Amino acid sequence: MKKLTKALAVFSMMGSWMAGTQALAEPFKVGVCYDFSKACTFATPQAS
Amino acid sequence: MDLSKLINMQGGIGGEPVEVIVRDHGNEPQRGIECYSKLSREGVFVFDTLSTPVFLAVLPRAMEDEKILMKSLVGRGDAVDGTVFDWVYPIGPTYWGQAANDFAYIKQLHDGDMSDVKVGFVYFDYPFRQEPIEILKTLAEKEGFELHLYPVPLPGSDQASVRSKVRRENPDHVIVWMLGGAHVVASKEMKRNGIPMEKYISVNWLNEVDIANIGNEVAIGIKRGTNVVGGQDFALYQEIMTELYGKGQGSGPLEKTQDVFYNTGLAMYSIVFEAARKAVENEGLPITAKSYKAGLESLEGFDANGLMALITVTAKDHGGGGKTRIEMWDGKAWVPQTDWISEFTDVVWDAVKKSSSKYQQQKTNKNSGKNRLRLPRAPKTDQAVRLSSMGGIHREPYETTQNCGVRHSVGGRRDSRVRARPRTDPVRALFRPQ
Repeated sequence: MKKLTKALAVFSMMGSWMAGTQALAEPFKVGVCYDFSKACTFATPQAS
Repeated sequence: MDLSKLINMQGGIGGEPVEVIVRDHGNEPQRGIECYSKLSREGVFVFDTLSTPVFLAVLPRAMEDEKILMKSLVGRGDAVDGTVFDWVYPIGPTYWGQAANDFAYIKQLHDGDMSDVKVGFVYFDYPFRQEPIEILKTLAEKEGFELHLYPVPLPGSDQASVRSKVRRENPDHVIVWMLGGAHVVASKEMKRNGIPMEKYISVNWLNEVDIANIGNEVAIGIKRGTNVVGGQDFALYQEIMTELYGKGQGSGPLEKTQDVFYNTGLAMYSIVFEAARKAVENEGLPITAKSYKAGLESLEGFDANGLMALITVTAKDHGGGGKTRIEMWDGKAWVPQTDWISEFTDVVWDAVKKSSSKYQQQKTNKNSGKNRLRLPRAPKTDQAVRLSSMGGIHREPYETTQNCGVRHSVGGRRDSRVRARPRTDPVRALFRPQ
């Protein structure tokens, strides 16, 4: 039982460490500024 | 969007997720600047505008702020000169290179003798379509062919007078620098004027939807210069189908993936993400603007996941030696007419150097007398080139927006938050600083 508790504690610590890592992860952001509403409505209706 | 989803499903880049933030600038330079400024504040340092007018407006700021401006396949052709445009990356073929390659194909058709050949250039009378003119003029002078220019007013729905002129002057080949609906109008007018479709050589912006609108049979003989491979026979597409669309997680309708424009997007973003991978590989996390720039400049022999001819980017050459291929529509599919080519690079680079040094000179003049380089910021309200759906191009007092037309997905409905501010007071506008 003691071993199980220990193992659970370790797992829980690892879990929170992993969650912490995920929360800290900074996405690589790309800003895509396109024309979806004006000139393209005639020129490229398929893209607007 | 699909590519970023796939990358995130596979663990991101260096363990970090990738995020593509999509905004609408309506092809208006001022809104483009707003998009750029807003996203910069959110920590974005890689931008893509897919619009020549917006690119031109954002360019001085990005250069000053040391942010990466990706401008594959659009914008000024001289931006391949990394010694001047150090934060701009027009990776892949530029309009200048593409026009030179179109001419190389024509020259090949005439066994190298261009003395009695007439080439017509039909284009939207608008910055992004005027780009190849200087290259074609230089080639005409050098190679001795006759060049005829045919400007078409935006949006290209009225081409009757231009096509009558084409019929009268009867060029042997017609290079067409338009897109979308304008191709449909152009091909109808060509047919009406009895101009053979075989003369038509389109810029890369001609896709499967356009061909369907023209008519599969009517379009037989049309040629286009392409930057990317067409069809769906490449590994990345199959992977996207299996991992995303097969599991109901695709970003849009399946039919939109069966289009050369979809391949173009995949190719451009394969480059964007590969550079990020290189940045992590070379300098580790976090990716910064500087490490990303170095990542771009370490791309060597990269084929954009099988979609483009090999690209090698250096600090001096930000284009990577982009190649194009001429294809012809045979009624069912595009048939390659050439290999991947990059011709007249001497002519193109001469023009690049001439134009980029002019830009450098203008920049220096603007900043003369100051200790640090500082480019002027555009005023909040400015005369901006606006396009109307009927009247083509005209100038009027610019209406800015509260935000930059936020949209969260490609192909979705326009965001209801897009609001126009009241029009600028015309009297005050007259006295605003220029």
